[in-house]
Amino acid sequence: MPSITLHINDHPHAVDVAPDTPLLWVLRDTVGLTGTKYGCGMGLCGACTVHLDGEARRACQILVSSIGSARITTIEGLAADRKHPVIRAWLAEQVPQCGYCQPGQIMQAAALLAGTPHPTRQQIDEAMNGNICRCGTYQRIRRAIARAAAETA
Amino acid sequence: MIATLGAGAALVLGVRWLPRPSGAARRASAASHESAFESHPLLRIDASGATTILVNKTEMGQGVWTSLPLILAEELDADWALVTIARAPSGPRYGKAATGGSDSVDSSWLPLRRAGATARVMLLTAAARRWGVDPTSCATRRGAVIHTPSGRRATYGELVGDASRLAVPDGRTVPLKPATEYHLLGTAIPRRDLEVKVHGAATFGIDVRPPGVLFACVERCPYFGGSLRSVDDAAARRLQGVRGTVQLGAVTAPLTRLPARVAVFANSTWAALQGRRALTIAWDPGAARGFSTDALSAACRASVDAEAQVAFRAGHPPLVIEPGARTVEAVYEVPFLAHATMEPMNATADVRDGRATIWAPTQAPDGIIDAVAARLGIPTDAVDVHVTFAGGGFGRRFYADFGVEAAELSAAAGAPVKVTWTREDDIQHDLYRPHRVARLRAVLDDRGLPTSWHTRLIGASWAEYWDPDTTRPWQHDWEGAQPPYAVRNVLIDFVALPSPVPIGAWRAVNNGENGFFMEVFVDELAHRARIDPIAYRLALLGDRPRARRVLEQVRDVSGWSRSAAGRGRGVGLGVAYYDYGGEQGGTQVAMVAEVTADDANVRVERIVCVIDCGLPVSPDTVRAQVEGSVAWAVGATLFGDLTVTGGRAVEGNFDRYRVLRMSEMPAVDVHIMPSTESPSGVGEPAVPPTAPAIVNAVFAATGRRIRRLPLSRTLGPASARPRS
Repeated sequence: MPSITLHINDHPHAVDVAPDTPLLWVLRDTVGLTGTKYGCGMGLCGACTVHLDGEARRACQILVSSIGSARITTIEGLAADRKHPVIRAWLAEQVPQCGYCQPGQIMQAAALLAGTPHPTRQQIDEAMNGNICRCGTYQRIRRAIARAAAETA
Repeated sequence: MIATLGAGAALVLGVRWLPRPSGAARRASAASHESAFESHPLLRIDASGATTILVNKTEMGQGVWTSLPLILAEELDADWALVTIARAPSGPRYGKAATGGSDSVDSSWLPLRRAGATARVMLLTAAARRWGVDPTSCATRRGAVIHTPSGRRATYGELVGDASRLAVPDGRTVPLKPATEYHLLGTAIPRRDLEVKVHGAATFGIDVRPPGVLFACVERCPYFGGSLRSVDDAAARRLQGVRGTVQLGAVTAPLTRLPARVAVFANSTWAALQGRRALTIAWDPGAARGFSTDALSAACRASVDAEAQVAFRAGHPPLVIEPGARTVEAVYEVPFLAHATMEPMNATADVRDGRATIWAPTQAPDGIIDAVAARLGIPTDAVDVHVTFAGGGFGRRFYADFGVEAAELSAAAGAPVKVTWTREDDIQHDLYRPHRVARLRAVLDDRGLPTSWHTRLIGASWAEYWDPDTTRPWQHDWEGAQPPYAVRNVLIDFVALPSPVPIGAWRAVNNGENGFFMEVFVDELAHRARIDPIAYRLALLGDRPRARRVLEQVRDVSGWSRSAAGRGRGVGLGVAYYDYGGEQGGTQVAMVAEVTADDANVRVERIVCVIDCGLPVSPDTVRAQVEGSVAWAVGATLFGDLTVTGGRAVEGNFDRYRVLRMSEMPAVDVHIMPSTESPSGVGEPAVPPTAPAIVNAVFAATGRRIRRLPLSRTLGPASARPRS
């Protein structure tokens, strides 16, 4: 198998995987970055959300062969900055319960705020509607996003 | 490699560590670490003062990782900043590991307080002896003993050696703090599991990866009760990365029902999924071929007058309440519901040399130990279960099926195996909240209050699925169906109909559906009596002060009285009350839902919830659990619906099995009643009142009484509008 080089969290990773492998499984099984979660495999739940050149994307829907030189950021990359406003807001609002969906929620929220630094409540709901949380932390996610937006004012 | 796993695996007895001596005479220094103090299996204090508290319950979002250590730390007067939290190993030494029924804090309350208080007394005694002073002249504060008259001070770390040489007193004899002296309990303590969770560094079951592990995916018979006719795995085995396949038969073991299966082993999850897709399998649907939820619904409705088994009786209820001017009757129906935890079922197992090691996000490690031992034919003490963080539990992870399956596959492969369920596997091979039809009847007196009450439950029974030889309904079948209201004559009975659909515990277990029937029916009675629904409930709760207080409080904080003017014009408020565990020591919940609704749409705008759970150990966690319970139940009320046709589940992923999304999330206001009584559960009690509060609010808004869930079935699939 030809080796594919991925740029993940500012580091190159050469991986030998079938070209039709979704990025999700390359991250989890091959690279060992398990913060990106499997939830549905159909782009319906958002648990596998990563950034591709800064844009929120579902890693289960991205074939590894289609990525090219795009920069991939996972929750581990985002969290390397312990002072990231979204992560701090998530802790301040005590958002997670089980925590399984939260890396995806955080990546989605970070991408939202990068493009829309002061989202309205409706913009928050729209941007986050693809990220399912079964513990029901939605109300705290709304608050945390508002808090992160206020702190970066 | 292709094999069929036999019943018995090779049996070699491993040597287990011996249990430590127990009892009051045991010395803490029995521990091998002279430099550490271990007066209780869940506690260890090092000479540095570092304090480790082990958690013996599964952290699945409900906050036990923080709330349980907090209870021990409070009585210990520990320095919370020096406390590290870790998961207790499996084994009886660490107490009951099964996590469910909202009882972790409740059942751990006294044992953990005694454990902390016992250690505190020993450390204080050690200091007093060292200083040659009267112990009553010493006090403890934030991880240190202080001799009050002289101001001398010793940290717990400095005392571990001396304290370890003392006999451990009987925990029942040590004094416990009065609630007025709490400085940790009831305060805003951040959860200890959240840092790793927001960094993507928490280890869930699906993240476990022992060296040399094979990745497995399993095709399970899609027909409930069906069997495997034939399989052609040639194409699968030709795929790159696929290492083998195995056929597995149906399994019945403690807390375990597994269908006929074909598994694929591979070098990666993706290769296993591809291999699985390449299998050609013929299933025999068996007797379930003609089964559908539509047919079950019709059969239930046709059986409301069938012979029923009496489950509960109080007073002298007439066995048949005749229709008449004073009789109110209503028939309700709820669907099967899947759990759909965000982390799908999974487990990893390493079975070798007659031992099994399992890593699993499980609510019941002891259940997995029993079931794996039974399945592999090895003793229970040859099975170890490592419990990871669980990505939601909600009752689904109380079952042992996923753990047993991983053990079967590791035994078959002769290697460690990690089994990942797809979302479709998870939804279509769940143990569902049971579908039910209920007919409720009541006879009202001159004031409009019920004198006789009859709840008849019809449908798939727990007993039928889990214990087919039984002749009586399980308590689960009618749990929560007894009205907490003052009604002289009460009859609860049950008509069990055959159903091949697996049923199991679903957050609040059967309180969810039985609470729905009861609280909508009470609303109907209030309407018939022309009495305000809160006043009506209060009239029936004369001897229950805690119940009355939550209802009065929700009336006062929800704007209930002011809302009367807007009713019937598309905006409505509905109320529900739920008694979870009894007026004495249980959790009391009163809820008001505000909806906007018309003939085709409903939107839940706001939920106000008042909860009395005794002392709120961690108030923010109580609020989070109520918010989560409401979100969970709002989603189920609006569109939760697992249907079956041709003997197999129809919905498989979040496109058709809809769950609540952010745009549908109401504002949730939580009010916690101040209390210093023993704490009671908070993980489930706000689930049962949510659906009836919403349905009662829809009635207030539209005059339309909905008696069948989900609302999307009655109002149409577009019934839950995103915010416009």
